[in-house]
Amino acid sequence: MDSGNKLERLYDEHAQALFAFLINLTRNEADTRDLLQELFVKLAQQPDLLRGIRNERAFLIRLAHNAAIDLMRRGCTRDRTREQFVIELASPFARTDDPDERAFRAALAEALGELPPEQRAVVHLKLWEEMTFEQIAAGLDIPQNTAASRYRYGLDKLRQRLRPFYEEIK
Amino acid sequence: MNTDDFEQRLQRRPMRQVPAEWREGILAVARSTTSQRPAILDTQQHLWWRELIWPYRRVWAGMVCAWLLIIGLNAASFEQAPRVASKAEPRSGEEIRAFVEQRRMLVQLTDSPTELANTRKPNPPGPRSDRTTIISAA
Repeated sequence: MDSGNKLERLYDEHAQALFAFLINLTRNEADTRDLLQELFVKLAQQPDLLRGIRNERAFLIRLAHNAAIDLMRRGCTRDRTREQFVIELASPFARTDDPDERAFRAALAEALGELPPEQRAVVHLKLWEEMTFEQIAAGLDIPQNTAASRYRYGLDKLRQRLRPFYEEIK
Repeated sequence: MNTDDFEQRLQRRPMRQVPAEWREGILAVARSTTSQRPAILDTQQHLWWRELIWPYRRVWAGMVCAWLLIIGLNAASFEQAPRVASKAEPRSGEEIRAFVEQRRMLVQLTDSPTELANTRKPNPPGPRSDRTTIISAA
């Protein structure tokens, strides 16, 4: 398989998961695209990067996570005035016409956004990628117990934050 | 609501889809960087030099001139030093004898009793026990 076809296969198999993960972390569509672009450029420039890797998804998630953390750190020292003008952050969830469901997704997106990035990453991978704690630990390069505790803390916060919706949304 | 139920409710909310138009753009850029990697690296290095040198080109030019001047002066003084040394002639035997005589006279003067008296250091203080006897005697 030549490098072009390999890139296409990687994109088709993993881009959706990487996009959802990155938009949940960055909450910015332009940053997400830049990070995705950066990731595929890296894969193109280093064709042997995935050689010997058993779980491509976990490895790519790790690359994406590291790049996103770097970007967020740079963003902390970058011009902060930009943040003052960005009122509406990009939601990681699909749009819906149902107003109740829309309200719930907006509240969930906001609650997720309030989690520290390390908890948000674990919650995202567990809930929406359905990864095991072992896979998450491998993907984020953290101990398995740390992944489990971050998930519990994150989920508790989400439960507290979304309590008003419990009985309204089925 | 138990934890599993809550988790399932969250999981049912689908994530946004990656915009379809991104695919071609991202893959095209990735492919182009594969084929043009050395050229891009050269360009980046070129840009780095331009960013460093060009905005302060007068300062850099001034520094180069100053260093050239310093190097030139240094080289000139280095060339003169051996010439001065080479101009010095060897001392004659008479001069050496006169110098030895002066040294001898100087030694005699410094060894004279008056000179010795002037230059003698005060005696170092004795032991404490001696000092107490002097004080009690006083």
